[in-house]
Amino acid sequence: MDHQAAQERFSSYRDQELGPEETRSVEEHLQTCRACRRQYADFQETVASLGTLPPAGPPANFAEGVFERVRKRSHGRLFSQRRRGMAVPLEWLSLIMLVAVVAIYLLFRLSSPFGLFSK
Amino acid sequence: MLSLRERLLVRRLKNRDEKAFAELVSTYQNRIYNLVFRMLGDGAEAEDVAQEVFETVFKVIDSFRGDAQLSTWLYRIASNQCKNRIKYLGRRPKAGFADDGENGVPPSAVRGSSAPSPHAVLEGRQLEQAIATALTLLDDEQREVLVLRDLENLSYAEIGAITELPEGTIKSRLHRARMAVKSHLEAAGQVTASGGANHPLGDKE
Ligand SMILES: [Zn+2]
Repeated sequence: MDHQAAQERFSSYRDQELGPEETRSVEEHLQTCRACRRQYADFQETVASLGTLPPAGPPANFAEGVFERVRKRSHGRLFSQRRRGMAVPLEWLSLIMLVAVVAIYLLFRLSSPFGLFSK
Repeated sequence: MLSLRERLLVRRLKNRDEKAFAELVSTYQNRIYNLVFRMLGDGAEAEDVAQEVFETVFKVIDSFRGDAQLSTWLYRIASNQCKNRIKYLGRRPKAGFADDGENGVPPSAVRGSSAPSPHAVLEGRQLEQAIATALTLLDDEQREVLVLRDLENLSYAEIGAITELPEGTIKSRLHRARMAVKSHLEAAGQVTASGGANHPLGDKE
């Protein structure tokens, strides 16, 4: 294996993603080639330093902002709380309407014998 | 495929349970924000896109069939929205530490075998900044794979599920990305070592 072939396999070699034969070839080359050994050490250091990059955290009010957006774009209808808030009154409303219609009907029936509409 | 915890959470999300949604955001916001921030290299854009990701999740949760992990699905949405935003902005991402006023070192051809080890000359915040700058100099495809692998510590299989790329493509992009970061760190290290950090690199071959 030449320098270039070895260096092209650095990434997969480091992640143990090479087959046993290729792994052996890379290792043999690294054992005999000082330049590539040096390059591989730097390569490993590079990958390791990427892992030490501190994660960027979201601002403190991030979640709040998400909820704000969901509510704004959906007019509050996406959350079941709100949906239930709409559905329950509707059911009650229909019940109240039904009772009211029956009550008015009964009122008319009851009141008519006393002459309001019998003339 | 989904853990019990994930399955329960998804069911509650599909029921539009506000508490479940809050749980989702608090569980994944750090990972998603970090991915988006490193992809875009800009805090304000990152916040906007990361919030948009969760908003999208909430809108399309019904289409989540559970054949991937919830985190994989989230990452996929985030990754796609980053790409859309980059396309929309039509520019290269800014340096991750743009508030420092310095844009680090341009990618240079300096790559001699005599280059000092990146760590030998770059430390702490300087190294951080050099890495952040190096990330912004990668092309979007390389950066995506590198961030998922080396910053978010995902497996090749997970990256494959997120990006829907064949493993060979992931490996070659990752290799090129890592080599590019290495070159950049070597160049940045050399400049720092020679005391030229305050000068533009232009006077250096
Ligand atoms: Zn060699």
